[in-house]
Amino acid sequence: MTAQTEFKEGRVEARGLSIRYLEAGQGDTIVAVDSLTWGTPKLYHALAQKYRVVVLEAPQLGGGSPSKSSKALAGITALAAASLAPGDYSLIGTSLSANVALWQALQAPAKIEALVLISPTAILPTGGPPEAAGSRPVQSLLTHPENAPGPPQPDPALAAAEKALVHLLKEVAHDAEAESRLGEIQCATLAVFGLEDKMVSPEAARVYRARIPNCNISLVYDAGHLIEAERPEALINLVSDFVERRETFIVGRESRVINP
Amino acid sequence: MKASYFGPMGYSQRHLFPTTWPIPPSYHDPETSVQSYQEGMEECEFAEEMGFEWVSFSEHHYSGRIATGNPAVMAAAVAERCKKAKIAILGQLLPLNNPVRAAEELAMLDNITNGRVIIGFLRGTPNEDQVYTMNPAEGRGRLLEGMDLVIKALTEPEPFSWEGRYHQFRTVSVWPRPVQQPMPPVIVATRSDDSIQYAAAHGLGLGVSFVPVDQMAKVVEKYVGWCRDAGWQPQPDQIVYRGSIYVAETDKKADEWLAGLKGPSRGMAGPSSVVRAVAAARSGEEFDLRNIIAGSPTGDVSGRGPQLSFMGGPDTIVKQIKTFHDQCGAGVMDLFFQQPGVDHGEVMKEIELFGREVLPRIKEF
Repeated sequence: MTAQTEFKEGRVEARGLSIRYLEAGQGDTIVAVDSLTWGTPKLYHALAQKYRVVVLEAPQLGGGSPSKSSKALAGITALAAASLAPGDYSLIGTSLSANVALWQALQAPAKIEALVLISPTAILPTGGPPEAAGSRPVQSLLTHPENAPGPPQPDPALAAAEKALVHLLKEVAHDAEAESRLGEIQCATLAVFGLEDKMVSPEAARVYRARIPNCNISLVYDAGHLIEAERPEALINLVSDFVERRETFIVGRESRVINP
Repeated sequence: MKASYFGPMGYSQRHLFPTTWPIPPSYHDPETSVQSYQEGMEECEFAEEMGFEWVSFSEHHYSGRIATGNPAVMAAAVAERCKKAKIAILGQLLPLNNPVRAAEELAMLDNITNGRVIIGFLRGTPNEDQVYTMNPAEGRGRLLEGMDLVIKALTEPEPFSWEGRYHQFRTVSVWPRPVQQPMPPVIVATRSDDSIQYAAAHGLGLGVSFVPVDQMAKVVEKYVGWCRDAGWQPQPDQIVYRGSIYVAETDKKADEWLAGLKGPSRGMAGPSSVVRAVAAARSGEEFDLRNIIAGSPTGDVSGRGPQLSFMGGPDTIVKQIKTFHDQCGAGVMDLFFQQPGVDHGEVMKEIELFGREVLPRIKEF
């Protein structure tokens, strides 16, 4: 079980927007862009045991700001990140926020040592999830509807946020410009997909791997779009290992000795 | 309908084995073993000559009765003799194995055979949960994850890492890719609902082994229904039945053979305490050694009698097979000829008789 770290909340100004952020931990810096729809993900609590973690609430998704493109939002999050993390950092984005992180890596690559895209939808989106298997729209993003994050009966604010998220996923279109520029990303990159993610076509993952020079793709078994909700331990293990070791995370280092 | 010759490569002196499992290696004589494999391969070659369209192999361990611990090795050898038949691995025991290794073997075989491989996935018989010391309670989960991983490994053109519940591979990049694209036909050998649903959801075939026709019909009914729900209809080659067979010139001669059999036919179980422990673990019951051992007779609990699916003269065999076709939609009969007390010479005679008198008629189904 991941220990819960106390994140302190703050706000940072960028291009006239006041962006909410959460911060915890010490060490090398990780910047994450996240909707924070269901609170602070376990992944960030785990990373904060070893790193300084700064989570920017994606202005478009969590703050109710007018809809803007990932490219435009990336300019804002890059400024916010530069303000909060003057040195180098690893950048993590999830779902729609991964598209923002992708553009941030394209527009402001200098400080980004490693890029982690969790369930990105920029490439070959499918036009939204299939019909929800349960009463909550978010259940359409899961392999197992019972894995829905948050309380079983979400309050009106959370229900509205979930509905907005699913709506946005239906709106997202293939980002041909981002695809054409993937080759510019020079930092170590990890693109993570749930094996049952229906938000992107099965061919999407291989586009990242084929186009980004130093990219690994990882498939999380028995998970849909919301990997954090369905296989949190697997996600923590994978992302922690990648942030620490980057492309060398493929080298095994766990002992298999039994009864030495 | 098509016929498939199941090649168990049984050790010719298997009638001398104890009735339990595993068979101690001390029973192995190299000269006899070499001859047995040669005879088994001759049977496959002759079956192809007589019109069998598939030859099949199955992973079983620690027994000379079905002496193919690695079916891919056996398939590769037979594929050099059988140049036309489909080479069906029915199947690999995915819970026991490294799925990436399984995918590599299958892809190699598909290249060696120029695209003649048929893939089968299988959980395995309960005794085989003891092979490689797998926890029987994990078998179902390992099978489901293993199938997903093998399929991904065979079809994904870019290297990927896999974060599973039972497997973690940070680099998977199977070479060569299968000749058959996107992948060879796949059969899931099962009677369990979750695996049947998996087959239906993924457009895969169904294999059922050794059960009576009414039981298979119930399994197929579920499968076809779930295929319909998934928006597709299985083809005849996607419903496979594996059954034991003894075919003689007449029903009377087959009855005489059966009457002459002595003792138990198989040894696929082992000490009853172990059998009960495996069953408890598979069903998720708490393992309590005192309950397992208490009242447990020592020795073997293996099945008695040959448990044949098909027996008789050619006319009878045709009728029996037609029942599986009509009631279950079976399109492929995978037939196990190496019965107790039947030596290589007799198997060859049965293959000839089946090919001459039965096969032309069942092909009409």
